[in-house]
Amino acid sequence: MDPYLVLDVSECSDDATIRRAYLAAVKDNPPDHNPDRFREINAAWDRIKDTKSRAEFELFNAEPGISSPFEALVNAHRYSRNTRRTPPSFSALKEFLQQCSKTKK
Amino acid sequence: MSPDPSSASEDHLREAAQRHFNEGRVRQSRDAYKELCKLNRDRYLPDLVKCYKAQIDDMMRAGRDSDARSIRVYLKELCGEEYAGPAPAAPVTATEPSAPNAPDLFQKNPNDPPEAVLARDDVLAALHALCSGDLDGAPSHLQAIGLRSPMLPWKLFVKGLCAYYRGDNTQALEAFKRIAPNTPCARAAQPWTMLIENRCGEIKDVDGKETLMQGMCLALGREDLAATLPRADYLWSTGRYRDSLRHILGAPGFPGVGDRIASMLTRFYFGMHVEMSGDRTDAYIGEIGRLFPLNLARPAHGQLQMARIGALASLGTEDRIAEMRETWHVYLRIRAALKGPSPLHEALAYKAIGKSLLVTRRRPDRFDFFARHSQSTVADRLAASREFLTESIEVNDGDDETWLLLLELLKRAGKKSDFNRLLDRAVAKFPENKNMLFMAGVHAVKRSAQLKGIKYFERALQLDSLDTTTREQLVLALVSLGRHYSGHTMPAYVQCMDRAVELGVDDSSHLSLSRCFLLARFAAFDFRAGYQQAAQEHLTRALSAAGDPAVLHYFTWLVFQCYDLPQNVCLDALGCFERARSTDRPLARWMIDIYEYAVLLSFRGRFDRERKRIDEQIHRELDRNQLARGDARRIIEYANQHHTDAVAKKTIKAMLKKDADDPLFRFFDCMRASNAKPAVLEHIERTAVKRHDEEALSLIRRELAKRKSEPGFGGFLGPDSDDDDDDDDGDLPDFPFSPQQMREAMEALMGTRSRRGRRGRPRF
Repeated sequence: MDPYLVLDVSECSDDATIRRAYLAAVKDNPPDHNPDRFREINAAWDRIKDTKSRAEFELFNAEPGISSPFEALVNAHRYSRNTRRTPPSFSALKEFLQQCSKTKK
Repeated sequence: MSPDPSSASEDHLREAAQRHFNEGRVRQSRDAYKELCKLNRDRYLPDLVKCYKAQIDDMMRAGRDSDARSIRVYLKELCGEEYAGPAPAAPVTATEPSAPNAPDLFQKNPNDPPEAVLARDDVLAALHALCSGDLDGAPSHLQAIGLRSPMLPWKLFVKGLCAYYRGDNTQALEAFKRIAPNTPCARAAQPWTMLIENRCGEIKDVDGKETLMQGMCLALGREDLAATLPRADYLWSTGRYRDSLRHILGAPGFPGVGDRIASMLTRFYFGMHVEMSGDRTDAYIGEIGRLFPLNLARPAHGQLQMARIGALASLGTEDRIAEMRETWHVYLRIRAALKGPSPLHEALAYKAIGKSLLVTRRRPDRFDFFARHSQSTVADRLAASREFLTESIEVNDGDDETWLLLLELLKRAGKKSDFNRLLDRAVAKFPENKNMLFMAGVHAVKRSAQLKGIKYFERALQLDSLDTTTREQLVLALVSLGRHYSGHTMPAYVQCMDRAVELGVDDSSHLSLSRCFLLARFAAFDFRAGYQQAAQEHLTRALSAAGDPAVLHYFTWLVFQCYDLPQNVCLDALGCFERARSTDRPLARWMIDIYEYAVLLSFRGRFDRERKRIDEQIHRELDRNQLARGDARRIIEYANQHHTDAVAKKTIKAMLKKDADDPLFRFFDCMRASNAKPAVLEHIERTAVKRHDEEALSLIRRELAKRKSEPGFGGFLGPDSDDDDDDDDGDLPDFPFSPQQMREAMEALMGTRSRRGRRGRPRF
């Protein structure tokens, strides 16, 4: 799993930001409530906790992180803590609704 | 004011009831008809029902569906089904006739009823309001759309969206659920429903998933991906990887790391080649190369990723050092151009190359007869590795791992003076690095500079007092120094041994660290230095600290001989041991451990006579059926090392007598057979799986893998060996399995566990 995604930080974040995000994530997911998520958070922290580990991740990480392109969108939603719901534009919604009308059941 | 119905006459009541009804006061009319029904039920019941029906209509118009439903139920009870009023506003579902298939929202149909045309305009106005962010104003456009309107599903859809974007998932879900399934409107609501219900993982199994994914993009506020991502996903899922890659190029920010989704997609598209196989990988990487040709003059993120693929792939080609160097330089140049120079990245890259050259041991390809690239020798690789690691340190000298790697390399290459110089620099550079101090300590002890080594170990132990390995090495260095001092009758050995005993542990099972064994050594040094009384005191203390005095006596007997103590002192210890041995306690395993430990302390062959005593003890314990499983395994290991075949045979037999299906001992038994068949091994493997016997399983699987990798390997002694050959071959030992093969199996076994008291070779 993408460690930046798990900790909900950007790849340009500094040590302090990543540490804050890690502590917040641990606080939200204590090990007794959500052990799997806690493990995931710790593993992510180990991979990007300092400049050296981030550089190593950038250079040598060979894991694709997701198994299909669409998973990128789903995971981004899943791990994002501050998601603001914004209605789509009318043209995009219209296009989608027309597509739904065409789609056979 | 209305008259009291109960007290009025029938005519008066009837008139009032009719008047109320005509003027729309349904409740008052109903109450009047209730009184009239008491007077004449048959005559006035239809009027009462009429009132109730009107009341139901009013309630439905007011949206009081549940109240209307209650009255309908009462009405049924009152007069049976024939008087039941119209169906109240029940949830619209596919099974209800009142759930219409909504007309198309954007395509006008001449056959649409006039109210649908008006309602369509209302829905579109509401959608416009919603999309412009007017979440409170949007529902007001929908008020005119009634419960029986054909546009009701679209009204519900817009209401659901409004609730969703207000953050009210419950209300949104309630609205979406009222839409009849399998309609365009229901399909339109599906992305939001799946998001609320957290069912995004099910999207793979949904029909029309591409449209659904488009909806998801809108629902998640990424309509910029709606045109590219669903299609790219579809292409990928059908195995058209290159088409998918070409399609995703239209996604904003791809390839790059600025946007989170783009970053994930970049990692995915530039990393998935490792999951592919054969021609597909080549074709896919070829496509990446075509799409992102290396252009050092105008570098971009795609080229950086392409260069990274090449650089990572080169780490496995240690026989092409020049290529490796070139690909990494290209990557680092592009990276520097895009993100600015970074000594850290450069150093890490050089370290990775150096490590790869130091560690990788790839077998030459058996079909690589016509290799165009010359196979580099081990010396070339080590030289190149040294160059890269040195370069890494020059670029960034703060990475202790690189220093340790370079030290390891110099040690392996036999460059002693370079190693010493670098180690001194490393210790000065990392005075607080435990690993560096430990390495310096080991090296100092190896050069017989115990004092220096002790200093390093002490510092390393201060940094991590729980590190048993450092503690053990420190104790061994102290004992070594104590031995040296005691041989020269120098009292300094007392300080060394006092410190060693202080560092020792109470647990009496560790031959190097246990306090009882350290005190016994202390006593030995006292004897050597001529302090008999102190020796006796230390022996008494050792006995009181020992878990089993017999074990300590045997340790003393062998270790005192190692330290060349007078025969009478050694024989005292042996006498004590023999007396303890006469009891029925299991000592064979301990005797083996101590014997092998003493052999490491002394020269090989010194204790050969001791093996007779050990064999005798093993037989005694086997006869008494006293062996535990772990002890038996240790005895077989010992028997194999010392070729005491009868002991091994008897031990295996005894253990199989206890448990005929024990996979570990069945495996050992099988290894003894000259023609052990893979089928038998596989059967034992199945037993080990059933019993969760990890130890046996790892040994059996290793053996099976070994056999599979050696075509034509028929039996344990090779394809030509069978029972007849055994008879002919007079040189074959009594113990018929190949000692080498048995030894390999035992080494594998020893590698799977960590035995206390057997870590590292003591040098003291």
